[in-house]
Amino acid sequence: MIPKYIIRKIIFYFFSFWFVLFLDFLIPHLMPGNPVDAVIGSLSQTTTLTPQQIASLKSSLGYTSGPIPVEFLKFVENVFRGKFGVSIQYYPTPVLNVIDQSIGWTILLFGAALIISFYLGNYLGLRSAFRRGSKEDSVLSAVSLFLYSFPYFWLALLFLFFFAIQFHIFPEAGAYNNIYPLYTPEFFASSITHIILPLLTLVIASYGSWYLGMRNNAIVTINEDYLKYAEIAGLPRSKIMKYSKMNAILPNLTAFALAFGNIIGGGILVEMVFSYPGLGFDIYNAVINEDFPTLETAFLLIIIAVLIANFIMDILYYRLDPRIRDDRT
Amino acid sequence: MSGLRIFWNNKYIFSGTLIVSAITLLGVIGFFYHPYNPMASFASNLPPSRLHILGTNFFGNDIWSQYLVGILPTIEIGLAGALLGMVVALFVGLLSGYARGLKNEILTFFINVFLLIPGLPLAIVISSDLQASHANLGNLALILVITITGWATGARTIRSQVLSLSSRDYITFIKHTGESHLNIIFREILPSLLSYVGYIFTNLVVFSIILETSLLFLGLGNETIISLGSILYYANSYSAILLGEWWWFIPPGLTIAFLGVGFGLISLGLDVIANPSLRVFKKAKGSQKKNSNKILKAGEEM
Repeated sequence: MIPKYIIRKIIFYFFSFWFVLFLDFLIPHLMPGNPVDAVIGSLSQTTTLTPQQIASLKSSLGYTSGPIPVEFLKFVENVFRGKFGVSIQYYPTPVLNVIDQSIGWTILLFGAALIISFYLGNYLGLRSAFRRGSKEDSVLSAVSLFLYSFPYFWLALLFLFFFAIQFHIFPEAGAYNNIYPLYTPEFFASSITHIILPLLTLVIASYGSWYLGMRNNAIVTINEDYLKYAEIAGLPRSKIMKYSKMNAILPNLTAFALAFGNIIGGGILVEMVFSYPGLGFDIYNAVINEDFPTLETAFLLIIIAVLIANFIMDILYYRLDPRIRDDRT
Repeated sequence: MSGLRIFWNNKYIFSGTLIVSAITLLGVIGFFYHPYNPMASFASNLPPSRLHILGTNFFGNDIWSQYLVGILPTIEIGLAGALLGMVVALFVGLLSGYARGLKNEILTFFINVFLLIPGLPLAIVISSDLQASHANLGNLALILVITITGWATGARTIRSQVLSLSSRDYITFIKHTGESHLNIIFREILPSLLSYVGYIFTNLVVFSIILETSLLFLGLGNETIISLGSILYYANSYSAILLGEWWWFIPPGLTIAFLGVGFGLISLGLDVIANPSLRVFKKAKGSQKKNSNKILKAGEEM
């Protein structure tokens, strides 16, 4: 039998998915005036559009004039068939082809940033909690708080300015050096030097939330009776650290949604500053070129990725925390 | 007075308030006294000199004057967005924590969904659609976008506090006396949430200042109004970084960062006041024991 907790989660994510679809559909429809007219206006400056093309453009954007529920059903049908329309900036390339070329870089960059900042933040947070009030703890807390409140894009500008423009340590734009043929050792080496600056920015700007969360959780956990008992019973410090780590990390996992969202939001700006050819850079280009199909598809993909990641986290949480398993809530 | 001393003695709140008031003071003074009209044109891309403390930008505007004038709008939008977000967070949080049954389920669902949706991408989609439809992109649009994307985190905190409060005995007792729900919410529950309200509000200010400047930086907002975000937008658009014009983008960015840090410190301090278990207690002199005793010590002193 599937436990009640998991059923609740499945129901929640099911409704969330539909809500998000609806939101993605609704936002352009709610706007005063019609974004699609602006799009067609800017497009017809460069290319001549036949009335059929305009009609198909409108329908691919979800703008055939019908009642909202019918429109929404059409939109859903298109989403499930993988028809996301054509990109305006690379007209007439389908949006999916545009995104297909960039999503790999984004998964690489965001994934690496998420894993590194998770480990770094939680490790340092635990260390600080055990050394609470020490000099190391005060310095780390202050530095983390300072970096945590930094705007991502400005940190990226600083790194770009110092490490790429002034001192030429790292390349200033792109994800690889295109003088090398694809998938050669030189190509991979160049992709590593290109990812360092964006990755460093993302990790530095995002580890703080894990750090502060872990530090607070661990401080609370350390004061629990069972750990005091373990201390009195003479358990080695490493064991105690291990037990408190396991318990303190649990509440931090629920902060995963926020952290993931932060990395994605910050990542868009970081990719923009470093011209890193990922999904975020697509979004930026879509914004300046008023490419709504790309923008809305990228938004939808991002949210679905967040939903899936959080669903996995919730299941993991269930596996890790026996209290939920036994509680039949 | 002793109530205020809690805030004064808290080193986070003290230093945070110091930073925020220093920047605000600079903004207020700069709003009235700046060396040049921020839109006046001089030779373009001048480096810092005695005449132009931060040089001039691509258009030949004096950057120091623009910077001075731009501080206040940034703070204003940040505060306004946070205030409106706070009101929504309080409203939804109180209702969803207090209501039972289907109402509770629906409100909780909305809080959780908006927690999941990453703020910046949502804000980008809304504001670029707004911009393309040639709507009036005044600051009001920016504030609304901040509110829509920022309210959920606060609402969750309020909700969980209300949940734990409304199951306390004294609330049950008051319910049995026939007090109206509104009275219970506003007279009994709301006052005990005040420390959380402060904590959420300052957090929201950090969020909204960063979101506001990020959107402006992307070109989604009103760049004709001089603010720290729009200065950075122009600096990036006219390659201040490539040209090495650090005086154009470092001062405004650093100010935004310090505003974030200042409000962040205040929120951390308020969090410590709301959750006493996070407080650090100084050890008595001469009790420098082995590390392994620290855990016990911290526990005993609680």
